[in-house]
Amino acid sequence: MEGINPDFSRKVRKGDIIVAGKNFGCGSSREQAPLVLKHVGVSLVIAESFARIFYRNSFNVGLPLLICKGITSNVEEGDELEVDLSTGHIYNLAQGVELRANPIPDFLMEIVKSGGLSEYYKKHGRFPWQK
Amino acid sequence: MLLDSLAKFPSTSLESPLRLFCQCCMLQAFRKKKNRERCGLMGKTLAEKILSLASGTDAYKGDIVVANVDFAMAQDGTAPLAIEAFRSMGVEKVWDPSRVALVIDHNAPSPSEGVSKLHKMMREWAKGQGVILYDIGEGVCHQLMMERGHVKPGKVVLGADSHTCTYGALGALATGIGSTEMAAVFACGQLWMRVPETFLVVVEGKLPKGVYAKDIVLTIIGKVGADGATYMAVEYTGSTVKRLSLDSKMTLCNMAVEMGGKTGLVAPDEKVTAFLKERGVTGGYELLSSDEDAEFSEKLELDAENLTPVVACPHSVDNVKPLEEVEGIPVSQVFIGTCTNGRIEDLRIAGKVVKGRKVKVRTIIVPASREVYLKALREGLIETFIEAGATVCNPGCGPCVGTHQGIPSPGDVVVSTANRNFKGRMGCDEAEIYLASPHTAALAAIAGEIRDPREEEL
Repeated sequence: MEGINPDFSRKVRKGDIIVAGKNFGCGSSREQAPLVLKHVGVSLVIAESFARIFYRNSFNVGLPLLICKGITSNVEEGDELEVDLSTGHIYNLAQGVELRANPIPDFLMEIVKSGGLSEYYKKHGRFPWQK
Repeated sequence: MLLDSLAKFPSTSLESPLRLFCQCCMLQAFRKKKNRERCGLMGKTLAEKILSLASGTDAYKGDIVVANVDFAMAQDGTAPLAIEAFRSMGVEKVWDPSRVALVIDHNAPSPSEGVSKLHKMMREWAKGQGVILYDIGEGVCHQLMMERGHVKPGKVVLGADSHTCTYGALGALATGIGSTEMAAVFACGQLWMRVPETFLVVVEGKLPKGVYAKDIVLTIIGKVGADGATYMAVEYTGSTVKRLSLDSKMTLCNMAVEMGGKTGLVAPDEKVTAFLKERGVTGGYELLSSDEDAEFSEKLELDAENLTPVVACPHSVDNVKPLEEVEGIPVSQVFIGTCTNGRIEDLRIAGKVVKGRKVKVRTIIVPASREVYLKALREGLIETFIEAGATVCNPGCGPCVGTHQGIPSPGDVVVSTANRNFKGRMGCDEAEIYLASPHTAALAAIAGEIRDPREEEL
């Protein structure tokens, strides 16, 4: 994050939501990327779109993501958001704007609820895509 | 078309041309029908066909399927975390050790004690599980996966590395995943996948001198942007693509991820069959291709004759400019290698450029694999490079990811044949990286500045 926001690591607080533009997470297959965000307290990332591997990795380490077209033009830094992950409903309390993200598929929600793919397997003895 | 099909069935002196012709037609019709039956009535893209076969379903774009994985790979940047996740899941054995390979290539040989410990962990785990291990000096994971016959057309292959998409050059649906998911694949041999839309890139005509596959793919990325094909399969076709060598097709597919693609694909042909045969793989795969009535979500047509040499300028892969605009920029380091452009074809081009001349700047050359290195040795290319004053390193990733073997310093301007030029990619935030073809890179080494490869014919 340092490249675009040098103070990010100092400013970020537990529970913060990152709002981002297109192709967020581009350029790495490394799971360290979402792991670090989760570790510093980021609770959710909402973006116009995500890089594919970052998208999968985030859910697998227990960091939920929402894809929401138009999010960047409707949220300013510091705004408070209310988000329902299961419906994709986003309410910007600061601006009084309602937005709708693509809902998270059920089985990805299950992974996030378990705290990640490893935790899911430990709990259920199978992966979500196995019968 | 007819010539193509004839080429697939070499004639013997006993067979008349007419009989051969009939056989070809029948076989083609039979194949087509078989494909249609297998894949349902509606036309399908190559990606849809492969995922239909791998999941045993009639899959179309947007569907989420559970795919059987034919082969899985992790490298030393991602394998340690995958092994840790595998252990934490409490799984004892991998699903099929003959379908799993670990590769030590990103930091090879190890530059630090910390990395050495991770390598040790990989070696011990591989031994315990009986999976394949390619240790230091064997080469870049992607090159090895293809050279050692682990990638078959029509199959799903997964790797814990972004550039796994390179194997699309052999007609496999190959894509990168993270370490935890790789641990799951190691455990069960299956993974959920979304069937991608297909972005069809058609390149027709004859490539001008000094223009290569790298220029084609950089031009495409410059046009569509770093997110222009997000989640999609990028399928390359057209007469130009069909004529390209497999090495060049690998370059095209390798960079599909740089436009956001899930994978790159080229419909496999007899070049693929020959490549696999050389490696002892003679069956167990199918040569599939997209149906004429398949639905492509995006299409880009390029006229090869209008293409020119290009470079991707700092600090993003889609910051693509024609050579004319960057000519004369002073260069302080050149790097020729990687899974994008470290193959024998690339080294031959570089060899032609530097033969009998001296490099003006630090020049690091890294063959993509032991096989490539040996070929280059036997052809006298390594001698040419050393005589020119270049540094040849062992097969592997070299300085591409900034772990070792030539990390630039602040203010350095690097011309590299790799696939990424993000800020800090090679280990230094204040270095500038230009991505180019091996011809442009080798010329920059000789001239000490960016030069137009069309100026001198090879």
